[in-house]
Amino acid sequence: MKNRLRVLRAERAWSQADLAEAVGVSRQTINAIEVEKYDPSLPLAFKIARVFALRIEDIFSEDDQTSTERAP
Amino acid sequence: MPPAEPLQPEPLQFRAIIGPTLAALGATALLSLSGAPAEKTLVRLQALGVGEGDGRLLLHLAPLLVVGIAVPMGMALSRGRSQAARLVLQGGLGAIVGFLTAFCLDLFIGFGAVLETFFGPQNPAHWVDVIAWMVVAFSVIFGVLGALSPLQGGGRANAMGHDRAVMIWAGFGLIGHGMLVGALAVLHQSEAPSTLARLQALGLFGLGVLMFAWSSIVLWRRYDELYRLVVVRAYAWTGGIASTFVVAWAALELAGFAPTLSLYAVSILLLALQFVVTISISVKLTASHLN
Repeated sequence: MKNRLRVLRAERAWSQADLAEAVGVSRQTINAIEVEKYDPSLPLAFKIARVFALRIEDIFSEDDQTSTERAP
Repeated sequence: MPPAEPLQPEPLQFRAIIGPTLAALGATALLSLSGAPAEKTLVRLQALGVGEGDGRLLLHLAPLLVVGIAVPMGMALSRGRSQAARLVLQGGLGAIVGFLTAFCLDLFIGFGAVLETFFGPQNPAHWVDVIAWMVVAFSVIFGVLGALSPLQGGGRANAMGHDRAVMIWAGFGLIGHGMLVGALAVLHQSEAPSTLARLQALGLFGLGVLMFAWSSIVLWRRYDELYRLVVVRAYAWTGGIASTFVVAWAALELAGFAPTLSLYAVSILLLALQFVVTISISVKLTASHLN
């Protein structure tokens, strides 16, 4: 799953540790999500979305965007 | 909400150096106590006019001196370099320290005497015992380093991003892991152990199991979902590989192409496999640069 975490953090000048503390996980977890080694659980995705004041789909997207476009 | 100011990697400070240096010195001190001065080196020192007593003391202390210099030097030189450069640098320094230590001391000679005192005479190590002792060494070394890593100081999280309690619990669990594997090896190697020796080994085993289980439960409950994923994947991979191995071995054994494995051997191989798999998965998922 692709995500815009790094960009969103950079826009707000937050470090991985800042975001990790805000959502209650370790810095490694944020890093693993950013480098797409790990897809967060739904509760964590909601927390991240809330911290950035965005919707989950504004931050995370499927690897293959065409499948999303085909969905009703 | 997170603060607006980003956290930057802190400059290397005395407090950040002192923890790892003390941890390395502690481990080296134990290593030094386990060894005896290398006879050839002692003779060379005596040829230079150093007395035998002073020479022995010097050879015990020299590895501590080298480690006391190498660790801060390695940390200072590694600062700001790429992961590959850090590995080469630290590997090089480690090789020099290892060579000098081996030049000064015949290591682990005293270890056998300690085992014999508590658990009676020991048989020579079987290949399974060698694997067991390797697991013990790595568990105890990583455990001590982990438990002492909070001494590095710093803010809410150290460079690895763990909070201090997590690192202490992880270190505590690893030391327990080393104790339980060591107890199994001792029981296997003991030559006609007395009841007391067997009870002492079982006590060590029980304490190790308790420490490992307690740490695992605390870490599972206190840490986050990535940690739980590492644990679940490690158990899944270990189970998959181990069951394949056991079934294949059973076929080979029944066909007469492989020797019979004891339950002890299977246990040690399983624990060693789980150790390696857990570290591999953990490194794969979490290795990164501070950002």
